[in-house]
Amino acid sequence: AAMSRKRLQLLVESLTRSAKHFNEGEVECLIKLFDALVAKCSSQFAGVGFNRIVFRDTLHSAFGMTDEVVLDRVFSTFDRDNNGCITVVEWVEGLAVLLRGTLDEKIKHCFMVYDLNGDGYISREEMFQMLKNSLLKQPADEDPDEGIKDLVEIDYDHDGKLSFTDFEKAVREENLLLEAFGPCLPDIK
Amino acid sequence: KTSSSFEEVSESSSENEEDEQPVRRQEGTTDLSPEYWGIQKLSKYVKGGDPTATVIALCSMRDFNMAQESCQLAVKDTGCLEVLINLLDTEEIKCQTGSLKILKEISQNMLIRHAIADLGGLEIMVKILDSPDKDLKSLAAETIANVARFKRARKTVRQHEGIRRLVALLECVSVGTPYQAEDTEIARCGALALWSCSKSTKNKKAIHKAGGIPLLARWLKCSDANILIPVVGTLQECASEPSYRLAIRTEGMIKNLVKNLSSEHEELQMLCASAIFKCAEDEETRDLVRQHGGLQPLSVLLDNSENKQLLAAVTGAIWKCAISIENVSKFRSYNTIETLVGLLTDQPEEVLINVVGALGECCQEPINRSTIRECGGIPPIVKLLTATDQALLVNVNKAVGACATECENMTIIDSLDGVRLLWSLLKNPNPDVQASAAWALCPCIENAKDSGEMVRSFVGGLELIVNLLKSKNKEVLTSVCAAIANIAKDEENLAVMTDHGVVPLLSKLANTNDNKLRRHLAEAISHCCMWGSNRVAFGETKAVAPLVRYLKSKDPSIHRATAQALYQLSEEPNNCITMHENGVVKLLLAMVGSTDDVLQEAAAGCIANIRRLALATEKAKYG
Repeated sequence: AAMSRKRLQLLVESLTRSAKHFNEGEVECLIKLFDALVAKCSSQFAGVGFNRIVFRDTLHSAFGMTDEVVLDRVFSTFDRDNNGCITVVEWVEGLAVLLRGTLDEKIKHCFMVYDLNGDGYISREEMFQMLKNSLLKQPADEDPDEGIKDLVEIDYDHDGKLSFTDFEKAVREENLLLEAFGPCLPDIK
Repeated sequence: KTSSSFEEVSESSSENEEDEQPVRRQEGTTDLSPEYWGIQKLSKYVKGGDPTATVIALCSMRDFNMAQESCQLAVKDTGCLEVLINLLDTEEIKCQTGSLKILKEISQNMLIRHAIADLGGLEIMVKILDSPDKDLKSLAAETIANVARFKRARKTVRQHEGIRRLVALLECVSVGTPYQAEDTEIARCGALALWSCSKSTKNKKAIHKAGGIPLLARWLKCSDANILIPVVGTLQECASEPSYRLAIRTEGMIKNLVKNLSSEHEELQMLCASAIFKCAEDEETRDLVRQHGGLQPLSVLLDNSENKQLLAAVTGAIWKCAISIENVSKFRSYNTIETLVGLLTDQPEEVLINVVGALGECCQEPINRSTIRECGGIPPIVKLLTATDQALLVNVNKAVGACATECENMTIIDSLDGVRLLWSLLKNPNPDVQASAAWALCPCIENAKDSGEMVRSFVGGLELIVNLLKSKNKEVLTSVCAAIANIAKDEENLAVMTDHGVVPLLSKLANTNDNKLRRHLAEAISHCCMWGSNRVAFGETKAVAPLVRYLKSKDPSIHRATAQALYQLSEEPNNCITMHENGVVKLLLAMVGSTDDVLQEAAAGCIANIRRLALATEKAKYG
């Protein structure tokens, strides 16, 4: 259902304020894109938003993000009220962080992605889970899990789990660790 | 003229420097360091993981202390170095960044940077300079700066269009945008790399060609020492090239260089002084330094005598600036001469060369010759006559000679055996040393008490100096003629020199076109005429005709000396005939009306002798 011009304008203004990193012209484009995606969704949510599948496809084609686990998690960070549906607000504000977030915002985003069960900590099991495909097959006499253990051991060697503070500190010291457990931000290219 | 030591000093930081040779220490022990195993484990993941795992492994590797040699060598010995370089060739920005962060650290090690160059790492880093990622560009430039510390590496950078790309990093964004700090960092890294690369002469030219000079000039105007240091470093390194010196002068850079002499950073002070040292070869620059108030800060910097590199640069700048006499007056008002005298002892050679050079130049103002004596400067200078460094000796000779023009100074010099030391420097194999010693001897002989006897007391001394007339070096010949002219004023010594064959040796030199030599040769001849049959001998050895030709020169200083020589020679009838045949009368007539009294008299005297002979001949013929 098309919005009236006035309502659209109000929405643009409010989103520009809350998302912080886009100007009004850009917000309007994103809203148009949103409408197109909702239409694809065959009115599952009665025009309010679109679902996980559409989201994953979009991110895949727009940013080349392929990892299923990661894409699922990113969906969860966007879907703040956890109802399986991305609304226009969630859409624009989520993209603001993804595309133009400050280092602080990105750190929060990545931590949320990696915290698979949402309990506020990245546990060793969660790290294993995310890294298990990162290592190529080691020579036959080595247990692949050994490799992961080594890497994880090397990097974070205290209480077996990573709090947000731990993660933030590590990333501030070494920016490269922002996406330590897998790419969850769009590539520059 | 003693610009030779400047060349040596400036070239010492350019191509002629001993290029580093990596020497592997004895591989005797099989004990591999604990770092070796840790790094080897990590390099497995770097090699065998996807980008995510690689980045984690690379970050972990930096937990090792990469400034430590054992870690650096471990990276190489485990084969990890190749892996790091291969990573540079991928398009994965995070991997490239992680790899460069390590390479930047370990390339401080001489063996490693040679290995990086051998593995083709430089070419890849040059390509990375084109990347849009700012961090990556900066890291690549900084790493290149470390690797390019040896000749072959610098050549490689140039051959792969690296210089052009590095200069492009200097293109600064307008001040006041949020990107200013980032872009300053990129420019800083670019300047660091250019500084390293500029040690090769071809690279200096390449930087110029790529438009580097105006960019460097722009950065010179900012006040951040972090970027000023590599910028000035590059400029002073390149200032050995005349094209750079010209640009530094015309693009208004002297003002900024002078300003930064007062920086708090000693390294920046040193680099600015070094740039001024090299540029002050040119007179206009010396004037600019004075006009921008540069002489005082230079003088003040002399007080920091702990930092020898700084002291060498500052004394060098003062030396060259003092070539202009207006600057000497300024230095005097800052009591620079006293401070310099204090630096004549307990200083490394590179400082002494410049200090003595400066004092020598300051003697252009006569009052400073007394000042040097009054603060006890003469003894240490004379002591330096026993030094071995040739550049130092040249400057010492010049300073001694300058001081010796004052009689009170001469007394001290003589009492310290200074003249004998100068004389023995005539045996030094370096012609610049010989010439400067001979020049210095002139005022010594003129002003010493009982100089004739003093000269005679140097065993073999007269033979030595006469034999120097066989030298092939113009400056040596000129200075020796000047000295001989002085020595010959003592009759006994002239007799000894005649025995050693001074007359034919002088005559042999007569056919020169060099005006300075001509002048001093004529002086020597005119004084050597005053003994025995030397006038006849000069005639027989064909000195007369060439001398007549000297009168045709436009240089007035030659005329006086030549006229005097001809006058002396004309006391001998055969010489009159020769002169007359060579058309001397017309030339001399023109000089009879000269305002120079000495010239006038000599010209007139010579013509009179010729006339007298002509008359006598006529009388004899016609009774």
